[in-house]
Amino acid sequence: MVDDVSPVHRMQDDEGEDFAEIFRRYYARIYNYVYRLLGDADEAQDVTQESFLKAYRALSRSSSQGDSPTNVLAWLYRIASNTSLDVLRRRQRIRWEPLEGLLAILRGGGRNPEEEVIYADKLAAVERVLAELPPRYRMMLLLREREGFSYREIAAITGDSLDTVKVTLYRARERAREIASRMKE
Amino acid sequence: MDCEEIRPLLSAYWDGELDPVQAEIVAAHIAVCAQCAAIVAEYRSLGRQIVALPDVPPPAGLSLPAYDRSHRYQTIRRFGTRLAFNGLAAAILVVVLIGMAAGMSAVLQRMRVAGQEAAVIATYPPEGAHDVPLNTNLTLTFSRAMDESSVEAATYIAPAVPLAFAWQGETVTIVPFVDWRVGTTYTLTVAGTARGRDGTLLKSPFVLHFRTAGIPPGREPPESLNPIGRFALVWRSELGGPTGPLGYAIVPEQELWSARQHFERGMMIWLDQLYEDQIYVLYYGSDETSGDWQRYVDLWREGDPEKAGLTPPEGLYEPIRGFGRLWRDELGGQAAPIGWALEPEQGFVGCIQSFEHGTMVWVAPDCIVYVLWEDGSWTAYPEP
Repeated sequence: MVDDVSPVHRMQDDEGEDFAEIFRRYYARIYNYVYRLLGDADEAQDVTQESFLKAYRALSRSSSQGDSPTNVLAWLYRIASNTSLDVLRRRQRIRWEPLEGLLAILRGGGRNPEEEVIYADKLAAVERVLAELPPRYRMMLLLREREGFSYREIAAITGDSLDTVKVTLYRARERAREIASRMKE
Repeated sequence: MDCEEIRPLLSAYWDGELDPVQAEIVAAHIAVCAQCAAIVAEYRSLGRQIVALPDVPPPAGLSLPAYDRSHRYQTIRRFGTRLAFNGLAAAILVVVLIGMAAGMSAVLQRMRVAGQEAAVIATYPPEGAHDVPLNTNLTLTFSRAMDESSVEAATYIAPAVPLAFAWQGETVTIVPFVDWRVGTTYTLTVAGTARGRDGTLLKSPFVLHFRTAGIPPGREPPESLNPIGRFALVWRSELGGPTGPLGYAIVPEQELWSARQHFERGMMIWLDQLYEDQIYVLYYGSDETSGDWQRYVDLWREGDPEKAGLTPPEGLYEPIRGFGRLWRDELGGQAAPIGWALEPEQGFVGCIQSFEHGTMVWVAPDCIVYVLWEDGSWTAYPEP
């Protein structure tokens, strides 16, 4: 999954234009990932921009030294993850904006009104579970379940060993079960 | 295998990340165990709900701030008004520069005598400055026009903070993306790989130390930074709280990916810090509850060789990855005072919090809070 490399390899020739291609290709994806990590659209916008800026600076330096990363998507996720976690560390607790997501659901989906309410309740519940998870657990679950990365790809993004990815995902799921169970009581 | 052994494998089983033998064992177990099967079903349900969360369209205003050769200037603007020196800051800078004029002229004289080597000839704040305001930008003036990218690539700061650079002639203004930490000593280094536009390398690595302002006397530190949980227990019950030897917290507690490995005569702790992973080496003193510590930057990267393939004495281990590289390259390898590893490294989610006079680190597998004092000693506090 994390094998989109071609734009980076051309950066030395025309770095601005090729980085713009990277930006166009990935910004919506990275924005959504960051939004799910932070739960705040404004902060997600800032962090996404900051992440691409950091990526550009890093890539332009490394490509000028003939040392481009082999895996630009993993790079982008790593930078976006670190930048998001830094924001979360500063603000301790996630501020979730559930309505925006729910309204998007309610606008379409081919369900009758009753089904839509039930469906929206379920999604609101999973948003609350994610919001209560420690940031690293939330990040691991998003990378695995939503972004669909393998353990090896997650390890490439986070810099962890495969064992750490495995253990952290296990703990994240167990914590999610605990939270969901508490919410039902 | 019983449920207790199977449960930690269920997550990786659901992800299809177990080896075939383990996967078969788990599959056979959940075929006859309703409880474990229910857990897998919950994992599946959670995953489906996460996938079902709707995509959010990016705002129309989301755009790459700038990616042309002037991007660094736009970076500065993007991160606020720091670079736009206000009148007071500019006045202070002028006073400082005037105050440094005599010293600078002497330096310049030496430069002329020594030839045309590139060097840093003036800084703000000056070397060894104290009580530096938390939003201060740094400026370095070089003896000649510099290759900007080589300077930026060669510039590091510890503790690590992301930096932006703005150039004007031979002077670079270095802007931290976030405020400096309260009461912290920073070390800025420009490595010898920085070069002038004519290719002349920096005469020698340049180092600048400065300390940021602390909480003013008589003012209470912000309560929001007070430690919580296990750090609070140790801080209040063992160390006397804010008036004790560790002082007050200067940053909130941070949860970090961590790893630790015990050695014959100490231990290593790895922390996944932003931008610059760090390894703390703790040497045992008279026993295993105190000693001396040192901090290193983790230079190992994914793709580097994991180990050197050494043969440890029976029952001991060769450290690998970041620990191994540090052990071999910096600590002396087989002759390292810390000795061989007693066990494989273990990953965990740890915590760290910096205080006025030291740092607390939570090592979850050992249930121990380590206090790393600013004088280079450490003390272990088992979880109360």
